[in-house]
Amino acid sequence: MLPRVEDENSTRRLAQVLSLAGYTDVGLTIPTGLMRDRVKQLSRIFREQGVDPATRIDLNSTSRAELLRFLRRFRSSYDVVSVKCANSNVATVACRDRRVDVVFFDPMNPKVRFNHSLANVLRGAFELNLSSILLSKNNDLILLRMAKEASIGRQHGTNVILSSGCASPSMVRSPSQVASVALMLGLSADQSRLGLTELPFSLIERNILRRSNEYVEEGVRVVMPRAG
Amino acid sequence: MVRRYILVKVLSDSQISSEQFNEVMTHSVKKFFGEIGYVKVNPRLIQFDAARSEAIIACERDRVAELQTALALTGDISGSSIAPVTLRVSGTIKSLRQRGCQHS
Repeated sequence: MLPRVEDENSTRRLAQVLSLAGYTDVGLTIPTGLMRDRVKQLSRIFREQGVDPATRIDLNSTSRAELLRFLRRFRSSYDVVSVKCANSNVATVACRDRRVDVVFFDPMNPKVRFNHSLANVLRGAFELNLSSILLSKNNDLILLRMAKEASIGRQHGTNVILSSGCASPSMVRSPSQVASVALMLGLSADQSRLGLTELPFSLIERNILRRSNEYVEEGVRVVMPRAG
Repeated sequence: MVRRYILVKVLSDSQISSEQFNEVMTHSVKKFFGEIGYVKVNPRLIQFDAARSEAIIACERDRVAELQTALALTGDISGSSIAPVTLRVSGTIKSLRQRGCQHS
């Protein structure tokens, strides 16, 4: 979700529609410069409507060095870190780096696309975004490209996360609609279901655990309370 | 011929009529699945409540995903944006109406 952070009424309306459509958890894309109080306020608006938000950042880097710098700076502050792959260098680094949870591609960008070699090295999940179809005038090309990406994802058993990517109430679609679109694009029924339910949940749970004080490293966490 | 019934909430900037919604649904199914796909899905607008912006659509039991996809990819109606959001899928109109009432 990309709520309009400056407009509280619009955000509230978006949260109401998401709740009506049947969502219980959403990933809120937060701009990097936004104050913590504002983030809490946005989260509260969603919680009031029965939708639990997880903070998410979309990193839009143009070079490998810039992406690594962004990851060092922002990884610990957000529940979900996603990378918009602008070129093949960024895509390769993003797919290999374990700090990256989700990678996605602009379907209108001819320079880079999700291919077999990226699917082989991908550690996180690949995101299919419904909003890119809805926003585009030329949506048959977008559908073709997304169908190819879905096919690659299916062949490699990639973790595919489905997202509505909505910024306004008119772009909200129910989870079953998003799963149906993914099914029509060529994902398996299991992948479509997992991409909306278990995968995003497990990803958020893992990152919340990682960000907690008890976490030491992969497989190690403090279970005894600290003395004093 | 076994049918499924879908309860759809139509979010729109402007008031839309039953005919307009039926037309946009038909157009969308034909656009994404073609004439043969349309016949296979066989969508029928059973009821349209303009006041509550809710519609009940019937389709073939094994073609629910196609209809949901066509509705998901519908973005505008004569220039104004709409969002058909499916709320429930059921095997009988009666249970769908009951659920619709509970929902509202």
